[in-house]
Amino acid sequence: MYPNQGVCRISGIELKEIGGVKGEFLTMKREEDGATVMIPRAKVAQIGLRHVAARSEVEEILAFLEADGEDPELDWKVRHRTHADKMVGGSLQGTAEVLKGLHTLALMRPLPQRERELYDSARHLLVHEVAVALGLSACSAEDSIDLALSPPAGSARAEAQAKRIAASMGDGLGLDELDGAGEEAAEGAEEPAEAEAEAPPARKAKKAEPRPPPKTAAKTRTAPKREKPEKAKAAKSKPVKAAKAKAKPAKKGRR
Amino acid sequence: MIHVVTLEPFEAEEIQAVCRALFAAFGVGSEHVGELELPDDARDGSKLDAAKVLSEAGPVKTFADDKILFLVQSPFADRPGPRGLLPTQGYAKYGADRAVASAAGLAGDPEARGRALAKLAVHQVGHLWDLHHCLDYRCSMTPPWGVAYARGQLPELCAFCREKSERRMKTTAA
Repeated sequence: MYPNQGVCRISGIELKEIGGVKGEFLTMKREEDGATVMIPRAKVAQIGLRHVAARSEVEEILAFLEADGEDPELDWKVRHRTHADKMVGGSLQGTAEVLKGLHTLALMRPLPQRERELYDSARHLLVHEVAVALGLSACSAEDSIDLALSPPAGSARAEAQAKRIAASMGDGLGLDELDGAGEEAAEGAEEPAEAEAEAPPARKAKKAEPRPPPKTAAKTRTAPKREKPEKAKAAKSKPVKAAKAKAKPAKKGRR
Repeated sequence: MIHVVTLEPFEAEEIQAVCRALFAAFGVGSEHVGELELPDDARDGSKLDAAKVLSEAGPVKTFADDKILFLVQSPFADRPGPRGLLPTQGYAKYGADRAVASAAGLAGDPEARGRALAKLAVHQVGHLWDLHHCLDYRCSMTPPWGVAYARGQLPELCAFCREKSERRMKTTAA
């Protein structure tokens, strides 16, 4: 199992000279499309290459997916870093945690584009590993995973899941923190793609309406609205620079 | 091109709904090429073995990159999975060229039935372009047994799945 690539079959070990340096390379073929991957033998452990999970491990993972999970991380920066680390690590448990975390989050609101892609990658890796480990077709492997994640309609698990989601959405968790889009726009937008690409129009319209002050401190978000007319005009003429200049001290202060 | 092959009799209205939905979802031509006999080995009592239907259904003349969708009326037997039986309304070989969907259990007038069958068809053909199950309840790639699936009435794909399938088609063609 090659982290972030998928299930590969080792086809041989070759001695190659690259850039004047001789070394042993593992040659592998990716199962799903036959693409050839070569990695230096010395870096096998560093990259995280590992055997496909055993049946017992897969069963544990399916039980993990089926069990009630923790509430998702609401700070998108923390979430992004944690998920990226888990995907690079390449463990089966890590991939399943990313999938389950984003699945739970998606039950509360649509995922931003980048997280939607991450969710699909995690699902893709998990489906193919489960299929190989259990000797199932990819179709059956994905259905097994989804049966654990999304219980069939009318089942007791489905009702319990619906109640849990309703409870978590009504407890004032501060769902504005989920995407951080508003905050990023005010700070100079390091991650503009995080803005809601898939948000329905009704929600976007809602965002434009004035809101009561949020429970969590988000001073930078409200700062531009308090500008005097002269300052606002200046900011309009140089929108990017003005936003960045304002964002810098705020960022340093927070870190 | 997506070839729709019926293995049991269907109303013309239902087949038309399926072909229209497949064209709208994937942007490639879709046509009903006729009816073939259901393979005897695929029958398991009153139910069908979905995997056997796919592997043993009669030959259909296709060109490279063509996809085949088989349609049946009989229900499929649930497949065994690691944590119990897997509800089966269709089956597909991911990234390959054959999928099957069953109209068993679809109720309502012919129009509603056609729409529900079309949604199942889009779901199964989506797997042929490596689409995974989707989170958006409006998307046909939502797991068919889930609570969300029934909420999305139309046989369509979400923007993410549509773009992914288009990318996949371009890659395959190249």
